[in-house]
Amino acid sequence: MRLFPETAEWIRISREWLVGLASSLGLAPVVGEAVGAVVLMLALFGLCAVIVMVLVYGERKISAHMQARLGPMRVGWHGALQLIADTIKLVIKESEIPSAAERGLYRAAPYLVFVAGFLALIALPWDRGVAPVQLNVGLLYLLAVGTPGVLGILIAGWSSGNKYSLLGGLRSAAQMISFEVPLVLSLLGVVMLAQTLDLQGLVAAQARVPYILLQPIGFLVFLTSAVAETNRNPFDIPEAESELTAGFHTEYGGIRFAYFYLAEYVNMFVLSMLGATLFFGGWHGPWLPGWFWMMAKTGVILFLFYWFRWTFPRLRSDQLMDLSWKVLTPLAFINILVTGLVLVLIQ
Amino acid sequence: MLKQLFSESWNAGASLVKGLWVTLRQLFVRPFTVQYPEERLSWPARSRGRLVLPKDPAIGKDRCTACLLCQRTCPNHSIEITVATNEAGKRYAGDFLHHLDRCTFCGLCTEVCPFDALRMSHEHELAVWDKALLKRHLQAETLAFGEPWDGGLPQPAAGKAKEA
Amino acid sequence: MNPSPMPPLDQAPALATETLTLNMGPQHPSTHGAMRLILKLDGERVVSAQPDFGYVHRGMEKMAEALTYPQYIYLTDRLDYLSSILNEWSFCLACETLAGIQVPRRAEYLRVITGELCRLSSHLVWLGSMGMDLGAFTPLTYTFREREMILDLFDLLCGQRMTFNYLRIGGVSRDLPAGFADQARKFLRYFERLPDVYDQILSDNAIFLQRMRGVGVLDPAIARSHAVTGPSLRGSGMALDLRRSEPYSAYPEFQFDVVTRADGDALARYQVRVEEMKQSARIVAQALDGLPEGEVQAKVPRVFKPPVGEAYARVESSRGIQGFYLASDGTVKPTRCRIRVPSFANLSVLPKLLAGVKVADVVAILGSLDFIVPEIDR
Repeated sequence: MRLFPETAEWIRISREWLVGLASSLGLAPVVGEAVGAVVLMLALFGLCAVIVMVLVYGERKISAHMQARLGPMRVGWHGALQLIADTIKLVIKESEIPSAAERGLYRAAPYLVFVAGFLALIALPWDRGVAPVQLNVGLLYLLAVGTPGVLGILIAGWSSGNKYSLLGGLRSAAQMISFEVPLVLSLLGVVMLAQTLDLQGLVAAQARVPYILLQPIGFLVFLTSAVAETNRNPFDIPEAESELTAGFHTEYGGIRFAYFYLAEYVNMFVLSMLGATLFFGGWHGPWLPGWFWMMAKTGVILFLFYWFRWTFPRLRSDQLMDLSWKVLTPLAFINILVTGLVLVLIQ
Repeated sequence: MLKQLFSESWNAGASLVKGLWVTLRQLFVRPFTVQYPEERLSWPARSRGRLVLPKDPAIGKDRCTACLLCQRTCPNHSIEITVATNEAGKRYAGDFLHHLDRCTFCGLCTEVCPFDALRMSHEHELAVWDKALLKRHLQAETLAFGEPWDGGLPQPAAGKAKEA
Repeated sequence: MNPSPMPPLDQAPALATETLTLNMGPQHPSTHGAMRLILKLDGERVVSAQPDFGYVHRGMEKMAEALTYPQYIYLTDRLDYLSSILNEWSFCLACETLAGIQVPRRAEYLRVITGELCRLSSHLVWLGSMGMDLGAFTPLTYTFREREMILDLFDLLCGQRMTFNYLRIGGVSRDLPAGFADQARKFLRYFERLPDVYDQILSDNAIFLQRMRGVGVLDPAIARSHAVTGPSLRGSGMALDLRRSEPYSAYPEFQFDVVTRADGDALARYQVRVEEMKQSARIVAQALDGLPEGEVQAKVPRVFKPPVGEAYARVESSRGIQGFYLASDGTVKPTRCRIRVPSFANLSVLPKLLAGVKVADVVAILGSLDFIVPEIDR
């Protein structure tokens, strides 16, 4: 017995209310649907900002305590409002465009990067039966919409007119393309077990055993590639502040920089949620509501992200490629092979 | 060869886990940071802060005899003494001007003073908005010998003898 | 199963490429100060590298001519600001050689204690920033925490944390304060277990080893011809340590190993420094135990006027051989002062080491050679 009503119920009720409202006003039900979609989008955007704030605050605090520091302490209780202050600062700051920049592309790049992460957010299963958009090929969609991000980073690096940015952009392109391969391959094992690409279905298939127990190698490969996909240490060579100052976003400031920042954390959140969905059994869990379990499991993976970043040194770009093509990709293939064999033998 | 590959990857993985263990342990140890304006560390007796010309309670004024040794010793010429003479013909510092902006807190002046008239206090929050405030006329300061900040340098009688 | 190697770029099929000139610095996180590296890049590969420096030139040698000998000591702190005592030491040694002053034994011990603590703290800073250059932020905060304890010791001893102005011609300015020895022993006990922690988080780390091993191999012959000294030379297998080979002060009385590694790569230089920290701690412990009684300052005339002549004195600083050449005309001020700084000589191998490496290796090599820019520029 659950303590709270299902979130899906709430969403169904509000949607019916909107459609009902539209028809009572003499409008076509599709208007109600459209308004609902817009509201949902705005809500998601707001949620995005809130998530990023929580994530950044969490990272600052966790990293600080890992380093025998305190982290933000001044704004609000233990610096809880620090992120609000930072956001205000970034928004009201003048965003300059360097004279050497390719103006149009320079402006567009941050949004492109952000949208890639944002689009992924709408297909994720937040709770039983709850996803902003229900897709029966949700996993495929997620993997597909993440790709424009690398384009945005490449554009940012090239259009800044800065040599560090250019190097960062190129590194990023190489890195993300090579890690896309093991990332996708690592998820195939899970798909083979669940026999579906629907994210809700994938979670439902883990009612008894979360897939991390059946696919430990798959999870390892996924985690490593996910860290690399989000350009985080130990794979943060596109930013590599000790080599390339800030890599592809060296020349960005103010609100445009904020979008890169937002995108980085949203991407991290999306991949963590994906990991929680595919390997930790998503919203399955006793007593507490599904969204709580979903968030808790996401938090565990996020903590791993933080933990890696504040412990490990950074790999060199060629070592990174080696890792992707010589270690992770073969591992993922072996994983698929073994999973397939076992499935065939069981049947 | 396969065995070697496995042992190598195992060692690599183990080394990474060891590193993770260090940071995880630190997560539960009290941070080392001191929240400065609220929490303050104590200053050891010898700490070199702002230069002062403290009052000697025995004579009711500072001990400076305007011998100018400190002025000559200072590598940055940050001390400027105006020599005055009293009725008895004895020299004293009419004005002891310390240019705080030139001072590097090397402590040579206090070391060279034969009358132990100069000390370095523990005052260290010396930033000001107006540069003119960096010219400190030391005689206007009211610090006296024997206060908590005072105790770094040996008394003249003790000379170079070993400290406690 | 060796993969066929990529053909060298000059033999690869013609593709119109050009090199990219990248000014790394003067403001760059990895040059550790205002130094510039003019890198010619072919993609991620460095074709040539030329260090450019002088951004913090203060005319230290010329300034010596305007100051008396004792007045100059505090300025030597500002050469290699991480091992101030060792700079003061070589300057005082030069003055003492010039005037033929015998330093009391207790003062020599105090010099050894402070000098080795300084070397230790300097290596701690280096260890942290080395990790940071390679992207590991956390060791930096750990090593700075440990260094803070050494700085506390110095604060207790001479009232300053970095610019000590502690040594004097003919001795040291003050004797140990009460409680110094206990606090120092406490620190040494605390320090004993630290190298293991650093090993766990950095030295044994597979990623770190991959980044350091075989990177920036410094050939001993090149090291010799470029007058590289200090841990960077010892990492190339040459056991040149002035504390052993040209013993000064009280060093003959202490047990310590001259650490060397044969490989000559960044990892070897790293290991030499980590090992040297342990040796420094060992020396400090011995000096604290065997500290003789007596004066800490020789009889030096209040107005220090060395006879006409010249002297050169050098000590083993944290980064190599640090020396002062002083020429005296019999007045209170030197007529010429020339400073031999280890970082400057060590820097001269950079173009050789950096040619052909990846951009990411540039920071590893820079970090492993351990420069202090104010010392280079003087």
